[in-house]
Amino acid sequence: MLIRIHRNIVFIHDTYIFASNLLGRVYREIPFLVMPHISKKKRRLPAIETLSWITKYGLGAAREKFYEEMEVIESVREELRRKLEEIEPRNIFEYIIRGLPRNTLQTLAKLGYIWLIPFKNISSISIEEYKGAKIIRIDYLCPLTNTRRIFKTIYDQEVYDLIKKLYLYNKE
Amino acid sequence: MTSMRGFVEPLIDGRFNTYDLEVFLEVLNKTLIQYRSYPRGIVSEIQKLYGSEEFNKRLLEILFTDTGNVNTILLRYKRVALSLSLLRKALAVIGLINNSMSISCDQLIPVLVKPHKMITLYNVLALSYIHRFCHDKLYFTIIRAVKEKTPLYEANPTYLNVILFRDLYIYASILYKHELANILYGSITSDIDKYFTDRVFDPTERSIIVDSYNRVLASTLQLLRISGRSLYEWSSVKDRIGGEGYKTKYVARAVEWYIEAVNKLIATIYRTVLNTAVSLTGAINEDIANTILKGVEYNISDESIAIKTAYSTLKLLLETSLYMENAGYIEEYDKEYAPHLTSYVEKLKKILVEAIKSIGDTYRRILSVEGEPIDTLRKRLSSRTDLGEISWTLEK
Repeated sequence: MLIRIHRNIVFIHDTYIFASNLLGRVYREIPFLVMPHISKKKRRLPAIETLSWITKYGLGAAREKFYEEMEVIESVREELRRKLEEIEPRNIFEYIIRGLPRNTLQTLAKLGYIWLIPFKNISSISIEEYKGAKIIRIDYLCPLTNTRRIFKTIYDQEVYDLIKKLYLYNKE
Repeated sequence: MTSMRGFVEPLIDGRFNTYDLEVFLEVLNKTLIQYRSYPRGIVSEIQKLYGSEEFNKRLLEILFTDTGNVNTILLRYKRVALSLSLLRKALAVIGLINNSMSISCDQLIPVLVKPHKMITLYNVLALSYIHRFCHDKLYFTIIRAVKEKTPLYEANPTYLNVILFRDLYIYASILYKHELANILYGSITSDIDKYFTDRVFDPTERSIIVDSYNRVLASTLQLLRISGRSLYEWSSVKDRIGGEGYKTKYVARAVEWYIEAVNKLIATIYRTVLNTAVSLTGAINEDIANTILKGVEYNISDESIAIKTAYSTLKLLLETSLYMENAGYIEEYDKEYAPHLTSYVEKLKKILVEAIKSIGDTYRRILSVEGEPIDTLRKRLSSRTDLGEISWTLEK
Protein backbone atom coordinates (compact mmCIF):
# COMPACT_ATOMS: atom_id res chain seq x y z
CA MET A 1 0.00 0.00 0.00
CA LEU A 2 1.48 3.32 -1.08
CA ILE A 3 1.75 5.76 1.80
CA ARG A 4 3.68 8.72 0.51
CA ILE A 5 5.53 10.01 -2.57
CA HIS A 6 8.68 12.00 -1.96
CA ARG A 7 10.26 14.20 -4.66
CA ASN A 8 8.11 12.44 -7.29
CA ILE A 9 10.51 9.50 -7.49
CA VAL A 10 10.70 7.97 -4.00
CA PHE A 11 7.67 5.81 -3.27
CA ILE A 12 7.25 4.86 0.36
CA HIS A 13 5.11 1.75 0.81
CA ASP A 14 4.18 0.07 4.06
CA THR A 15 6.81 -2.66 3.82
CA TYR A 16 9.38 -1.27 1.40
CA ILE A 17 10.69 1.86 -0.32
CA PHE A 18 11.01 1.92 -4.06
CA ALA A 19 12.76 4.69 -5.95
CA SER A 20 13.32 5.02 -9.67
CA ASN A 21 14.62 7.74 -11.93
CA LEU A 22 14.85 5.93 -15.24
CA LEU A 23 12.18 7.82 -17.14
CA GLY A 24 13.18 11.10 -15.55
CA ARG A 25 16.65 10.63 -16.96
CA VAL A 26 15.31 9.54 -20.33
CA TYR A 27 13.23 12.69 -20.37
CA ARG A 28 16.27 14.82 -19.68
CA GLU A 29 18.33 13.08 -22.33
CA ILE A 30 15.82 13.43 -25.14
CA PRO A 31 16.93 16.92 -26.20
CA PHE A 32 20.40 15.50 -26.79
CA LEU A 33 18.91 13.23 -29.41
CA VAL A 34 18.47 16.19 -31.74
CA MET A 35 21.69 17.99 -30.86
CA PRO A 36 24.10 18.94 -33.60
CA HIS A 37 26.45 16.12 -34.35
CA ILE A 38 28.52 15.12 -31.37
CA SER A 39 30.99 12.31 -31.27
CA LYS A 40 30.30 9.34 -29.01
CA LYS A 41 26.61 10.08 -28.87
CA LYS A 42 25.95 6.71 -27.39
CA ARG A 43 27.74 7.65 -24.21
CA ARG A 44 25.60 10.73 -23.83
CA LEU A 45 22.39 8.69 -23.88
CA PRO A 46 22.76 5.89 -21.31
CA ALA A 47 19.16 6.03 -20.03
CA ILE A 48 17.73 6.06 -23.54
CA GLU A 49 19.87 3.07 -24.45
CA THR A 50 18.64 1.26 -21.34
CA LEU A 51 15.01 2.00 -22.10
CA SER A 52 15.42 0.71 -25.64
CA TRP A 53 17.07 -2.39 -24.28
CA ILE A 54 14.17 -3.11 -21.89
CA THR A 55 11.41 -2.55 -24.40
CA LYS A 56 13.28 -4.10 -27.32
CA TYR A 57 12.17 -1.01 -29.18
CA GLY A 58 13.99 1.97 -30.42
CA LEU A 59 17.60 0.94 -30.27
CA GLY A 60 17.44 0.38 -33.99
CA ALA A 61 14.80 3.05 -34.41
CA ALA A 62 16.74 5.61 -32.41
CA ARG A 63 19.92 4.95 -34.35
CA GLU A 64 18.14 5.04 -37.64
CA LYS A 65 16.29 8.21 -36.83
CA PHE A 66 18.79 10.32 -34.98
CA TYR A 67 22.30 9.05 -35.27
CA GLU A 68 22.35 9.75 -38.98
CA GLU A 69 21.60 12.88 -41.01
CA MET A 70 22.26 15.29 -38.16
CA GLU A 71 22.18 18.83 -39.47
CA VAL A 72 19.91 20.35 -36.90
CA ILE A 73 19.80 23.90 -35.61
CA GLU A 74 19.64 25.10 -32.00
CA SER A 75 16.00 26.22 -32.16
CA VAL A 76 14.89 22.62 -32.52
CA ARG A 77 15.82 21.87 -28.95
CA GLU A 78 13.64 24.63 -27.57
CA GLU A 79 10.72 23.50 -29.64
CA LEU A 80 11.28 19.97 -28.40
CA ARG A 81 11.33 21.12 -24.80
CA ARG A 82 7.97 22.86 -25.29
CA LYS A 83 6.53 19.74 -26.86
CA LEU A 84 7.78 17.51 -24.07
CA GLU A 85 6.22 19.82 -21.51
CA GLU A 86 2.89 19.17 -23.18
CA ILE A 87 3.29 15.44 -22.52
CA GLU A 88 3.63 16.08 -18.77
CA PRO A 89 5.94 13.41 -17.42
CA ARG A 90 3.95 11.42 -14.90
CA ASN A 91 5.61 9.85 -11.91
CA ILE A 92 3.20 6.95 -12.24
CA PHE A 93 5.52 5.38 -14.80
CA GLU A 94 8.41 5.43 -12.38
CA TYR A 95 6.08 3.78 -9.92
CA ILE A 96 5.20 0.78 -12.07
CA ILE A 97 8.73 0.05 -13.23
CA ARG A 98 8.92 -2.40 -10.33
CA GLY A 99 6.59 -4.68 -12.31
CA LEU A 100 9.38 -5.55 -14.75
CA PRO A 101 10.84 -9.08 -14.67
CA ARG A 102 13.27 -9.77 -11.84
CA ASN A 103 16.45 -10.04 -13.94
CA THR A 104 15.71 -6.72 -15.68
CA LEU A 105 15.30 -5.08 -12.28
CA GLN A 106 18.61 -6.56 -11.18
CA THR A 107 20.34 -4.93 -14.13
CA LEU A 108 18.61 -1.61 -13.47
CA ALA A 109 19.64 -1.73 -9.83
CA LYS A 110 23.24 -2.34 -10.80
CA LEU A 111 23.17 0.58 -13.24
CA GLY A 112 21.79 2.85 -10.53
CA TYR A 113 18.35 3.57 -11.99
CA ILE A 114 16.27 1.95 -9.25
CA TRP A 115 16.51 1.34 -5.50
CA LEU A 116 14.48 -1.30 -3.70
CA ILE A 117 14.68 -1.10 0.09
CA PRO A 118 12.59 -3.52 2.18
CA PHE A 119 12.34 -2.09 5.69
CA LYS A 120 13.48 -5.45 7.07
CA ASN A 121 16.81 -5.09 5.28
CA ILE A 122 17.64 -1.63 6.60
CA SER A 123 20.61 -1.50 8.94
CA SER A 124 20.67 2.22 9.73
CA ILE A 125 18.88 5.48 8.96
CA SER A 126 20.76 8.73 9.54
CA ILE A 127 20.91 12.41 8.61
CA GLU A 128 24.05 13.70 6.93
CA GLU A 129 25.46 16.85 5.42
CA TYR A 130 26.36 16.74 1.79
CA LYS A 131 27.68 19.83 -0.04
CA GLY A 132 25.98 22.09 2.47
CA ALA A 133 22.58 20.39 2.23
CA LYS A 134 20.95 17.96 4.62
CA ILE A 135 20.27 14.48 3.32
CA ILE A 136 18.69 11.26 4.60
CA ARG A 137 21.03 8.31 4.32
CA ILE A 138 19.80 4.72 4.46
CA ASP A 139 22.17 1.76 4.64
CA TYR A 140 20.54 -1.46 3.52
CA LEU A 141 21.01 -4.89 2.00
CA CYS A 142 19.72 -4.84 -1.56
CA PRO A 143 17.64 -8.00 -2.12
CA LEU A 144 18.07 -7.79 -5.90
CA THR A 145 21.85 -7.73 -6.02
CA ASN A 146 22.55 -9.13 -2.53
CA THR A 147 25.04 -6.39 -1.73
CA ARG A 148 25.18 -3.69 0.92
CA ARG A 149 24.12 -0.38 -0.58
CA ILE A 150 23.45 3.22 0.38
CA PHE A 151 20.46 5.29 -0.58
CA LYS A 152 20.52 9.06 -0.22
CA THR A 153 17.70 11.52 -0.66
CA ILE A 154 17.05 15.15 0.21
CA TYR A 155 16.07 15.70 3.84
CA ASP A 156 12.46 16.21 4.82
CA GLN A 157 11.34 16.03 8.43
CA GLU A 158 8.02 14.31 7.74
CA VAL A 159 9.56 11.74 5.43
CA TYR A 160 12.30 11.03 7.94
CA ASP A 161 9.78 10.47 10.73
CA LEU A 162 7.63 8.29 8.49
CA ILE A 163 10.55 6.09 7.49
CA LYS A 164 11.53 5.68 11.15
CA LYS A 165 7.97 4.77 12.12
CA LEU A 166 7.61 2.22 9.34
CA TYR A 167 11.01 0.77 10.15
CA LEU A 168 9.82 0.10 13.69
CA TYR A 169 6.48 -1.25 12.49
CA ASN A 170 8.17 -3.78 10.22
CA LYS A 171 10.67 -4.84 12.84
CA GLU A 172 8.03 -6.45 15.04
CA MET B 1 18.30 -36.95 -33.91
CA THR B 2 15.58 -36.33 -36.46
CA SER B 3 14.22 -39.85 -36.09
CA MET B 4 13.49 -39.17 -32.42
CA ARG B 5 11.30 -36.17 -33.09
CA GLY B 6 7.75 -36.87 -32.16
CA PHE B 7 8.47 -39.63 -29.71
CA VAL B 8 6.20 -37.87 -27.24
CA GLU B 9 3.24 -37.97 -29.66
CA PRO B 10 1.62 -41.07 -28.10
CA LEU B 11 1.60 -39.38 -24.69
CA ILE B 12 0.68 -35.82 -25.48
CA ASP B 13 -3.10 -36.24 -25.88
CA GLY B 14 -3.41 -38.13 -22.59
CA ARG B 15 -4.54 -41.47 -24.05
CA PHE B 16 -1.72 -43.66 -22.76
CA ASN B 17 -1.17 -46.42 -20.23
CA THR B 18 1.71 -47.64 -18.11
CA TYR B 19 3.34 -49.49 -21.01
CA ASP B 20 3.57 -46.31 -23.11
CA LEU B 21 5.19 -44.55 -20.20
CA GLU B 22 7.75 -47.33 -19.98
CA VAL B 23 8.62 -47.00 -23.68
CA PHE B 24 8.99 -43.26 -23.22
CA LEU B 25 11.34 -43.69 -20.27
CA GLU B 26 13.33 -46.34 -22.15
CA VAL B 27 13.95 -43.88 -25.01
CA LEU B 28 15.06 -41.19 -22.58
CA ASN B 29 17.30 -43.63 -20.74
CA LYS B 30 19.05 -44.65 -23.94
CA THR B 31 19.55 -40.99 -24.84
CA LEU B 32 20.97 -40.28 -21.42
CA ILE B 33 23.43 -43.16 -21.72
CA GLN B 34 24.47 -42.10 -25.20
CA TYR B 35 24.79 -38.32 -24.72
CA ARG B 36 25.09 -37.96 -20.91
CA SER B 37 22.58 -35.11 -21.05
CA TYR B 38 19.49 -34.45 -23.13
CA PRO B 39 20.09 -32.92 -26.58
CA ARG B 40 18.25 -29.71 -27.35
CA GLY B 41 15.71 -31.41 -29.60
CA ILE B 42 14.67 -33.79 -26.84
CA VAL B 43 14.41 -30.99 -24.29
CA SER B 44 11.97 -29.05 -26.46
CA GLU B 45 9.89 -32.21 -26.95
CA ILE B 46 9.77 -32.76 -23.19
CA GLN B 47 8.72 -29.17 -22.65
CA LYS B 48 5.90 -29.68 -25.13
CA LEU B 49 4.80 -32.64 -23.06
CA TYR B 50 4.96 -30.69 -19.82
CA GLY B 51 2.70 -28.00 -21.23
CA SER B 52 0.02 -30.54 -22.10
CA GLU B 53 -2.83 -30.51 -19.61
CA GLU B 54 -4.10 -33.93 -20.72
CA PHE B 55 -0.73 -35.57 -20.15
CA ASN B 56 -0.39 -34.18 -16.64
CA LYS B 57 -3.90 -35.19 -15.64
CA ARG B 58 -3.55 -38.67 -17.08
CA LEU B 59 -0.16 -39.20 -15.40
CA LEU B 60 -1.65 -38.34 -12.02
CA GLU B 61 -4.56 -40.65 -12.78
CA ILE B 62 -2.38 -43.68 -13.50
CA LEU B 63 -0.28 -42.88 -10.45
CA PHE B 64 -3.37 -43.44 -8.36
CA THR B 65 -4.92 -46.36 -10.28
CA ASP B 66 -1.85 -48.41 -11.27
CA THR B 67 0.49 -47.53 -8.43
CA GLY B 68 2.42 -50.79 -8.21
CA ASN B 69 3.45 -50.98 -11.87
CA VAL B 70 4.29 -47.30 -12.20
CA ASN B 71 6.37 -47.52 -9.05
CA THR B 72 8.40 -50.42 -10.47
CA ILE B 73 8.97 -48.62 -13.73
CA LEU B 74 9.94 -45.30 -12.17
CA LEU B 75 12.35 -47.01 -9.81
CA ARG B 76 13.88 -49.00 -12.67
CA TYR B 77 14.54 -45.76 -14.57
CA LYS B 78 15.31 -43.75 -11.46
CA ARG B 79 18.09 -41.83 -13.15
CA VAL B 80 15.70 -40.51 -15.79
CA ALA B 81 12.97 -39.89 -13.24
CA LEU B 82 15.26 -37.81 -11.08
CA SER B 83 16.41 -35.73 -14.03
CA LEU B 84 12.88 -34.54 -14.87
CA SER B 85 11.11 -32.34 -12.35
CA LEU B 86 7.65 -33.69 -13.11
CA LEU B 87 8.69 -37.31 -12.64
CA ARG B 88 10.50 -36.41 -9.46
CA LYS B 89 7.20 -35.11 -8.15
CA ALA B 90 5.51 -38.27 -9.45
CA LEU B 91 7.91 -40.28 -7.30
CA ALA B 92 6.84 -38.20 -4.33
CA VAL B 93 3.17 -38.86 -5.08
CA ILE B 94 3.86 -42.61 -5.21
CA GLY B 95 5.68 -42.37 -1.89
CA LEU B 96 2.63 -40.69 -0.48
CA ILE B 97 0.35 -43.49 -1.71
CA ASN B 98 2.65 -46.34 -0.60
CA ASN B 99 3.56 -44.56 2.58
CA SER B 100 7.23 -45.12 1.77
CA MET B 101 10.09 -42.73 1.21
CA SER B 102 11.22 -43.32 -2.36
CA ILE B 103 13.04 -40.00 -2.86
CA SER B 104 14.85 -37.74 -0.44
CA CYS B 105 13.33 -34.39 0.43
CA ASP B 106 16.50 -32.53 -0.54
CA GLN B 107 16.00 -33.67 -4.11
CA LEU B 108 12.38 -32.59 -4.10
CA ILE B 109 12.59 -29.07 -2.66
CA PRO B 110 14.46 -27.43 -5.59
CA VAL B 111 11.94 -28.67 -8.17
CA LEU B 112 8.85 -27.55 -6.31
CA VAL B 113 8.32 -24.47 -8.40
CA LYS B 114 9.50 -25.78 -11.77
CA PRO B 115 6.89 -24.55 -14.22
CA HIS B 116 4.17 -26.40 -16.01
CA LYS B 117 0.48 -25.82 -16.40
CA MET B 118 -0.86 -28.28 -13.85
CA ILE B 119 1.85 -27.61 -11.30
CA THR B 120 -0.56 -27.11 -8.43
CA LEU B 121 -1.89 -30.65 -8.61
CA TYR B 122 1.60 -32.03 -8.05
CA ASN B 123 2.99 -29.34 -5.78
CA VAL B 124 0.33 -29.75 -3.13
CA LEU B 125 0.97 -33.49 -2.97
CA ALA B 126 4.74 -32.95 -2.97
CA LEU B 127 4.37 -30.54 -0.04
CA SER B 128 2.35 -33.17 1.76
CA TYR B 129 5.14 -35.68 1.08
CA ILE B 130 7.75 -33.36 2.58
CA HIS B 131 5.45 -32.71 5.52
CA ARG B 132 5.06 -36.40 6.23
CA PHE B 133 8.64 -37.57 5.85
CA CYS B 134 10.76 -34.59 6.86
CA HIS B 135 8.58 -32.26 8.85
CA ASP B 136 11.32 -29.79 9.84
CA LYS B 137 12.41 -29.14 6.27
CA LEU B 138 8.99 -27.82 5.34
CA TYR B 139 9.23 -25.11 7.97
CA PHE B 140 12.87 -24.17 7.67
CA THR B 141 13.33 -24.28 3.92
CA ILE B 142 9.92 -23.27 2.66
CA ILE B 143 7.67 -21.47 5.15
CA ARG B 144 10.40 -19.37 6.72
CA ALA B 145 11.89 -18.57 3.32
CA VAL B 146 8.48 -17.47 2.07
CA LYS B 147 8.06 -15.23 5.12
CA GLU B 148 11.43 -13.57 4.69
CA LYS B 149 11.05 -13.01 0.97
CA THR B 150 7.54 -11.55 1.15
CA PRO B 151 8.56 -7.84 1.01
CA LEU B 152 10.63 -8.56 -2.10
CA TYR B 153 7.74 -10.35 -3.79
CA GLU B 154 5.41 -7.58 -2.74
CA ALA B 155 7.60 -5.04 -4.47
CA ASN B 156 8.25 -7.18 -7.53
CA PRO B 157 5.76 -10.03 -7.87
CA THR B 158 6.62 -10.89 -11.49
CA TYR B 159 8.75 -13.89 -10.74
CA LEU B 160 7.93 -17.50 -11.39
CA ASN B 161 8.45 -18.67 -7.80
CA VAL B 162 5.30 -16.77 -6.89
CA ILE B 163 3.45 -20.00 -7.72
CA LEU B 164 4.76 -21.45 -4.45
CA PHE B 165 2.80 -18.86 -2.47
CA ARG B 166 -0.41 -20.10 -4.05
CA ASP B 167 0.38 -23.79 -3.61
CA LEU B 168 1.34 -23.33 0.03
CA TYR B 169 -1.92 -21.47 0.56
CA ILE B 170 -3.92 -24.27 -1.02
CA TYR B 171 -2.00 -26.85 1.00
CA ALA B 172 -2.58 -25.03 4.28
CA SER B 173 -6.30 -24.74 3.50
CA ILE B 174 -6.56 -28.43 2.61
CA LEU B 175 -4.87 -29.46 5.85
CA TYR B 176 -7.38 -27.38 7.74
CA LYS B 177 -10.42 -28.72 5.88
CA HIS B 178 -9.76 -32.00 4.11
CA GLU B 179 -12.86 -31.80 1.94
CA LEU B 180 -11.21 -29.02 -0.07
CA ALA B 181 -9.03 -31.66 -1.70
CA ASN B 182 -12.09 -33.06 -3.44
CA ILE B 183 -12.62 -29.81 -5.32
CA LEU B 184 -9.05 -29.88 -6.62
CA TYR B 185 -8.65 -33.60 -7.29
CA GLY B 186 -12.29 -34.66 -7.68
CA SER B 187 -11.96 -35.58 -11.36
CA ILE B 188 -8.90 -37.77 -10.77
CA THR B 189 -9.52 -39.72 -7.63
CA SER B 190 -12.44 -39.88 -5.26
CA ASP B 191 -10.76 -40.86 -1.98
CA ILE B 192 -7.96 -38.30 -1.91
CA ASP B 193 -8.42 -37.35 1.75
CA LYS B 194 -6.36 -40.16 3.20
CA TYR B 195 -3.21 -39.15 1.33
CA PHE B 196 -2.88 -35.92 3.23
CA THR B 197 -1.05 -36.10 6.51
CA ASP B 198 -2.74 -35.88 9.87
CA ARG B 199 -0.29 -33.27 11.04
CA VAL B 200 -1.69 -29.79 10.75
CA PHE B 201 0.01 -26.43 10.76
CA ASP B 202 -0.10 -24.59 14.04
CA PRO B 203 -1.78 -21.15 13.89
CA THR B 204 1.56 -19.32 13.61
CA GLU B 205 2.67 -21.26 10.54
CA ARG B 206 -0.72 -21.02 8.96
CA SER B 207 -0.98 -17.30 9.55
CA ILE B 208 2.45 -16.79 7.95
CA ILE B 209 1.26 -18.56 4.81
CA VAL B 210 -2.09 -16.74 4.68
CA ASP B 211 -0.46 -13.37 5.39
CA SER B 212 2.21 -13.74 2.69
CA TYR B 213 -0.29 -14.84 0.09
CA ASN B 214 -2.66 -11.97 0.90
CA ARG B 215 0.10 -9.41 0.68
CA VAL B 216 1.55 -10.67 -2.58
CA LEU B 217 -1.89 -10.93 -4.19
CA ALA B 218 -2.84 -7.42 -3.04
CA SER B 219 0.34 -5.94 -4.44
CA THR B 220 -0.07 -7.79 -7.75
CA LEU B 221 -3.61 -6.49 -8.15
CA GLN B 222 -2.40 -2.98 -7.35
CA LEU B 223 0.33 -3.11 -10.00
CA LEU B 224 -2.09 -4.53 -12.55
CA ARG B 225 -4.63 -1.81 -11.87
CA ILE B 226 -2.12 1.01 -12.22
CA SER B 227 -0.40 -0.37 -15.31
CA GLY B 228 -3.75 -1.00 -17.02
CA ARG B 229 -4.94 2.47 -16.23
CA SER B 230 -1.77 4.25 -17.32
CA LEU B 231 -1.67 2.22 -20.52
CA TYR B 232 -5.13 3.57 -21.24
CA GLU B 233 -4.21 7.15 -20.42
CA TRP B 234 -0.93 7.07 -22.29
CA SER B 235 -2.57 5.84 -25.49
CA SER B 236 -4.43 9.15 -25.74
CA VAL B 237 -1.25 11.23 -25.45
CA LYS B 238 -0.33 10.54 -29.03
CA ASP B 239 -3.61 11.95 -30.31
CA ARG B 240 -3.33 14.95 -28.02
CA ILE B 241 0.05 16.20 -29.25
CA GLY B 242 0.92 14.08 -32.25
CA GLY B 243 0.94 15.11 -35.86
CA GLU B 244 0.63 18.86 -36.08
CA GLY B 245 2.50 21.87 -34.86
CA TYR B 246 6.02 20.63 -35.45
CA LYS B 247 8.45 23.02 -37.05
CA THR B 248 10.96 20.33 -37.82
CA LYS B 249 10.74 16.67 -38.49
CA TYR B 250 13.40 15.97 -35.87
CA VAL B 251 11.18 17.13 -33.04
CA ALA B 252 8.33 15.06 -34.38
CA ARG B 253 10.55 12.00 -34.47
CA ALA B 254 11.97 12.50 -30.98
CA VAL B 255 8.56 12.98 -29.42
CA GLU B 256 7.18 10.03 -31.34
CA TRP B 257 10.05 7.86 -30.17
CA TYR B 258 9.51 8.84 -26.54
CA ILE B 259 5.78 8.17 -26.64
CA GLU B 260 6.24 4.83 -28.36
CA ALA B 261 9.03 3.69 -26.02
CA VAL B 262 7.09 4.53 -22.86
CA ASN B 263 4.02 2.85 -24.32
CA LYS B 264 6.02 -0.31 -24.94
CA LEU B 265 7.42 -0.18 -21.42
CA ILE B 266 3.98 -0.03 -19.83
CA ALA B 267 2.64 -2.70 -22.17
CA THR B 268 5.48 -5.02 -21.15
CA ILE B 269 4.77 -4.45 -17.48
CA TYR B 270 1.03 -4.89 -17.96
CA ARG B 271 1.53 -8.21 -19.72
CA THR B 272 3.93 -9.70 -17.15
CA VAL B 273 1.84 -8.56 -14.20
CA LEU B 274 -1.34 -9.93 -15.75
CA ASN B 275 0.34 -13.33 -16.18
CA THR B 276 1.42 -13.26 -12.55
CA ALA B 277 -2.04 -12.31 -11.34
CA VAL B 278 -3.64 -15.09 -13.39
CA SER B 279 -1.23 -17.71 -12.12
CA LEU B 280 -1.51 -16.48 -8.54
CA THR B 281 -5.30 -16.68 -8.52
CA GLY B 282 -5.72 -19.65 -10.84
CA ALA B 283 -8.43 -17.60 -12.51
CA ILE B 284 -8.45 -19.58 -15.76
CA ASN B 285 -8.60 -22.93 -14.01
CA GLU B 286 -11.95 -23.37 -12.31
CA ASP B 287 -10.87 -26.06 -9.85
CA ILE B 288 -7.91 -24.11 -8.52
CA ALA B 289 -9.89 -20.87 -8.32
CA ASN B 290 -12.71 -22.55 -6.39
CA THR B 291 -10.28 -24.21 -4.00
CA ILE B 292 -8.60 -20.90 -3.21
CA LEU B 293 -11.89 -19.06 -2.76
CA LYS B 294 -13.16 -21.73 -0.37
CA GLY B 295 -9.81 -21.58 1.44
CA VAL B 296 -10.14 -17.82 1.85
CA GLU B 297 -13.56 -18.34 3.40
CA TYR B 298 -12.26 -20.90 5.91
CA ASN B 299 -9.16 -18.95 6.83
CA ILE B 300 -10.93 -15.70 7.55
CA SER B 301 -13.71 -17.29 9.59
CA ASP B 302 -11.06 -18.88 11.87
CA GLU B 303 -10.69 -16.29 14.61
CA SER B 304 -7.08 -17.01 15.60
CA ILE B 305 -5.92 -16.67 11.98
CA ALA B 306 -8.09 -13.62 11.39
CA ILE B 307 -6.49 -11.69 14.26
CA LYS B 308 -2.98 -12.32 12.98
CA THR B 309 -3.72 -11.58 9.34
CA ALA B 310 -6.22 -8.75 9.79
CA TYR B 311 -3.96 -6.07 8.34
CA SER B 312 -3.15 -7.96 5.15
CA THR B 313 -6.78 -9.04 4.72
CA LEU B 314 -7.97 -5.45 4.91
CA LYS B 315 -5.28 -4.48 2.42
CA LEU B 316 -6.49 -7.18 0.07
CA LEU B 317 -10.07 -6.00 0.52
CA LEU B 318 -9.04 -2.47 -0.41
CA GLU B 319 -7.18 -3.68 -3.50
CA THR B 320 -10.07 -5.84 -4.73
CA SER B 321 -12.39 -2.87 -4.38
CA LEU B 322 -10.01 -0.62 -6.34
CA TYR B 323 -9.55 -3.32 -8.94
CA MET B 324 -13.27 -3.54 -9.57
CA GLU B 325 -13.42 0.21 -10.14
CA ASN B 326 -10.72 -0.05 -12.82
CA ALA B 327 -11.77 -3.37 -14.32
CA GLY B 328 -12.78 -1.64 -17.56
CA TYR B 329 -9.27 -0.32 -18.20
CA ILE B 330 -7.67 -3.66 -17.42
CA GLU B 331 -9.95 -5.64 -19.68
CA GLU B 332 -9.48 -3.27 -22.59
CA TYR B 333 -6.06 -4.71 -23.49
CA ASP B 334 -6.66 -8.36 -22.87
CA LYS B 335 -9.85 -10.14 -23.83
CA GLU B 336 -8.53 -13.62 -23.09
CA TYR B 337 -7.57 -13.72 -19.41
CA ALA B 338 -8.62 -10.41 -17.89
CA PRO B 339 -12.42 -11.13 -17.86
CA HIS B 340 -11.76 -14.37 -15.95
CA LEU B 341 -9.64 -12.45 -13.48
CA THR B 342 -12.32 -9.80 -13.02
CA SER B 343 -15.01 -12.34 -12.22
CA TYR B 344 -12.64 -14.04 -9.79
CA VAL B 345 -11.80 -10.78 -8.02
CA GLU B 346 -15.49 -9.94 -7.76
CA LYS B 347 -16.18 -13.26 -6.03
CA LEU B 348 -13.17 -12.75 -3.76
CA LYS B 349 -14.36 -9.31 -2.77
CA LYS B 350 -17.82 -10.61 -1.89
CA ILE B 351 -16.33 -13.34 0.30
CA LEU B 352 -14.03 -10.89 2.06
CA VAL B 353 -16.80 -8.39 2.74
CA GLU B 354 -19.11 -11.08 4.12
CA ALA B 355 -16.44 -12.64 6.31
CA ILE B 356 -15.20 -9.34 7.70
CA LYS B 357 -18.75 -8.30 8.48
CA SER B 358 -19.35 -11.44 10.50
CA ILE B 359 -16.35 -10.88 12.79
CA GLY B 360 -16.11 -7.13 12.46
CA ASP B 361 -14.85 -6.58 16.00
CA THR B 362 -11.44 -8.09 15.24
CA TYR B 363 -10.97 -5.74 12.35
CA ARG B 364 -12.29 -2.70 14.17
CA ARG B 365 -9.81 -3.35 16.97
CA ILE B 366 -6.91 -3.47 14.50
CA LEU B 367 -8.02 -0.28 12.82
CA SER B 368 -8.39 1.63 16.08
CA VAL B 369 -4.59 1.58 16.51
CA GLU B 370 -2.92 4.97 15.90
CA GLY B 371 0.13 5.41 13.69
CA GLU B 372 1.32 4.51 10.22
CA PRO B 373 0.56 2.44 8.18
CA ILE B 374 -2.78 1.78 9.91
CA ASP B 375 -3.78 5.46 9.59
CA THR B 376 -3.46 5.40 5.82
CA LEU B 377 -5.29 2.09 5.56
CA ARG B 378 -8.17 3.39 7.68
CA LYS B 379 -8.42 6.57 5.62
CA ARG B 380 -8.46 4.63 2.35
CA LEU B 381 -10.98 2.08 3.53
CA SER B 382 -13.42 4.60 4.93
CA SER B 383 -13.45 6.54 1.66
CA ARG B 384 -14.79 3.50 -0.23
CA THR B 385 -18.52 3.40 -0.52
CA ASP B 386 -18.73 -0.02 -2.18
CA LEU B 387 -17.62 -1.96 0.89
CA GLY B 388 -21.09 -1.88 2.40
CA GLU B 389 -21.18 -1.83 6.14
CA ILE B 390 -17.44 -1.49 6.64
CA SER B 391 -17.12 1.97 5.17
CA TRP B 392 -19.56 3.56 7.61
CA THR B 393 -18.66 1.55 10.70
CA LEU B 394 -15.09 2.75 10.50
CA GLU B 395 -15.85 6.45 10.27
CA LYS B 396 -17.32 6.97 13.71
